[in-house]
This record gives sequence, C-alpha cells and structure tokens, in this order.
Amino acid sequence: MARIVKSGSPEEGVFLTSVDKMLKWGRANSLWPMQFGLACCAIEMMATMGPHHDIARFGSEVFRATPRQADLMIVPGTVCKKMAPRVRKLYDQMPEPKYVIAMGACASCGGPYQNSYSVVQGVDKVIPVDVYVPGCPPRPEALLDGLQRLQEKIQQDPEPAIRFAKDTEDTEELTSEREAKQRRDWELGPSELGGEPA
Amino acid sequence: MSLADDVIDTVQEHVIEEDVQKDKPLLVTDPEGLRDVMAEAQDAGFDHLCFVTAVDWPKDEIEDNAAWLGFTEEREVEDPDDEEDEDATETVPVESKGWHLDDVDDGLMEVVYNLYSYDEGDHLAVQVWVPREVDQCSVPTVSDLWAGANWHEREVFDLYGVTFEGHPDMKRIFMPEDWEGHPHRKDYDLGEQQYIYREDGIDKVTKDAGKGW
Ligand code: SF4
Repeated sequence: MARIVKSGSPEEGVFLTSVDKMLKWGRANSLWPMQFGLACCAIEMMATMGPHHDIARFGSEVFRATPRQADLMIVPGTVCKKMAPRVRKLYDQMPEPKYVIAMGACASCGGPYQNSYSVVQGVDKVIPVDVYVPGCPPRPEALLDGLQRLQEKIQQDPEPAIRFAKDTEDTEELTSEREAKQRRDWELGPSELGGEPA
Repeated sequence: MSLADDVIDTVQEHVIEEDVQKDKPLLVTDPEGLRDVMAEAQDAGFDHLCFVTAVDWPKDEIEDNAAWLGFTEEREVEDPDDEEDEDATETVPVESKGWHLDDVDDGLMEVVYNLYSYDEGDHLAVQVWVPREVDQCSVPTVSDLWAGANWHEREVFDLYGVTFEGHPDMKRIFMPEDWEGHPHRKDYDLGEQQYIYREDGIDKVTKDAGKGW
C-alpha cells in the first residue's frame, strides 16, 4: 500500500502514500461499531469488547450508543420481522461511509429459525451486508476475523475514499448507490474485485 | 402438609385429576371451577403466578398419545372368545381431563398456570382443558387475582388464540393487531408468510414480500 523507506537510507523517516490510501487506512482501522444487540450473539460481541479478546487492538473499541456516531453496524443476533423496520431506520441514520457485519447464522440467513413466522431470513433482506460471520454463535475470534476482513475490504475498495454528499437527498442517493454496488459485489465475487483478501 | 395439598382438599369438588410431575403437584380443573381454584390457591399462600401458557392438542395428536394422556386404557378382556388367549387385553376409551375422546371435535387446548409461594417455596400447576376451536377456546381470566397475569394472558391469546373472559384488555401483545392466525397453533400455516412494515408509527401486516420484512 505504501512505500516504506529502508532504515539508514537518506530518505529515512519519510513515508510516501496517497491521500486516498491513507484515508482508507485510517477509516479501516478506526471503525466505530454501533452498540446494539439483538439476541444471544450479542453476548459474544460483548465478550469481544472485553479485556480478554479486546477488540481495541483493531481500533473498534468505541461502541457508540447512537447510530449517528457509528461507522459499523454489527448485527449480532436474530432479526425479527418486528425489528427489521427499526434496524433499517438505525442503518439509515448512520452517516456514510457505513459498513455492516452480519454476525451469526441468524443474521446471515435466519439460522435455526428457518421457515419461521417471526424471523427475517437474513439481515441482507433489510440492509446491505459487507461481511458475514458464520457460527451459532461465532466465537469472538471469528468476529475479530470478520472485522479484519472488513478492514481489508475497505482498504481494497476501488472507489475513491472521498465522495461529497451535498445534502440529504445526495446521502440517500449514496445509500442506494451503495446497495446497488453491494449487489454487484455479491454477483461478481471477490476474485473480480481485486482478488481474495489475504 | 404442603400448600398444594391444602388447596386440593379445599376445592375437592373442582378437581378432576391430581398428579405429581417432577416432584411438583398438579391439578386439572374445568373452566367453571378455575376461578374458585385460583382464588383458593391465592388465599392459601400462592402469591406468585410464575406464568400462564398453553399446549395445543389437535385431535390426531391426542389420538396418537391417547394412552399417555389417559384417554384410553388397556384392560384385560373379560371373557375372551379364544379360550387359550387368557391374557388378551383390549384398549378401551376412558374419561380424562374432563373429556371423553368421542366428545372432542377438533382437539383440545391445555391452558397451564404455574403457581409459586415465596414463603413456603411450594409449587402448584393448574391445568384446564378446553376445546381448541377459536370461538370456543376460552377460560376465565385471573388477571384480577394476580396483576401479572394480564400480559401472560394476552400472550397466550396472541400465540394460541385462547380468549380470557373478563380480561380488561384482551388484545394481541407481540404480533401486530391485523396479523392473521395464532402462530403457536399446530395448524398455523407457515407456508404463507406475513410481513411487517411501519406506517404512521404502528406496525402493519402485509402478504407482499416487497412491502414489508
Ligand atoms: S446465530 Fe445462534 S447464537 Fe447467534 S443469535 Fe442466532 S441463535 Fe443466537
């Protein structure tokens, strides 16, 4: 990503990169998740926040209690049909750029609640998802892995890091644009997006 | 003597069956006797209604479990036609839970109340069996005895379609008002999904997957 100058050379202490790469690097390494939980997976998310697994090592310890200050929505648990409109509303309130991790089998595809009267069969029916973390519940390590995948994804994003939204309508446009892109990503698969993440 | 025995002795005329399951006493009563039993239980010291729930028994499931539920009994054949087969048994229908299997049309709904006494640490389960057809499926409320029963009864109404007569606010508690059917009934159609969306601050139901979630 950046060229690091060898120690001892006359350029020592100089770090060359582009603004775009630096922004993406910063963005990827300071994802502020939203503090909310939907079911049992949330307990595992809380364990990830704790001192043992310490999500702070990856720059995401700042769980915000409001969507307006969050970049990352971890959807930890079962999305009920009644919750779905609320999840959508919370997502819409998050500022761009925003990312979503579907944590656990429930959020990814309905999990144990297949063919249920009350459960949405995957949060991707409601909001676009960047990373799916399988498991019931996924262990904290798995969530951390999902987070690192997301960081890689952000850093490899071919779109420029800065896009300007002039007013609310533009923000909505950006959101729908993002959803369209998400679907495209889904159809293309990782290989066409610049290779499998390392 | 435990509190439960006290209650069972006092309301003997309403007790259809009594039993002990998992070390906890259980009594079966009928909808007419329910309020007397519950009032008596409260007087006796059952100050906590842990929960109200229900079990749906469609007719075919009762038939499959008839012996276990006590609706049939194995008896020795009095005088077998075949002289040699003296131990022959036959299955005869008997009354159980206040019902005869022949009187059951669509099935039965078992409504269960779990009582607990904080002082004595005693448990008591009370069961009522009513027809499961939605228009006949009703039992008297106990929400005036234990205020906590209010929401429990609404939950049972919402999910099982049991109406609690005399309840001050008998409406759904989880599902939106216009939801069709009672989801925990065994004949609830899971094939036809209903979706929820918000309009003017209330949850609405639609069958159009594109309109709700
Ligand atoms: S995936 Fe498993 S652990 Fe996670 S919310 Fe669903 S049921 Fe609970």
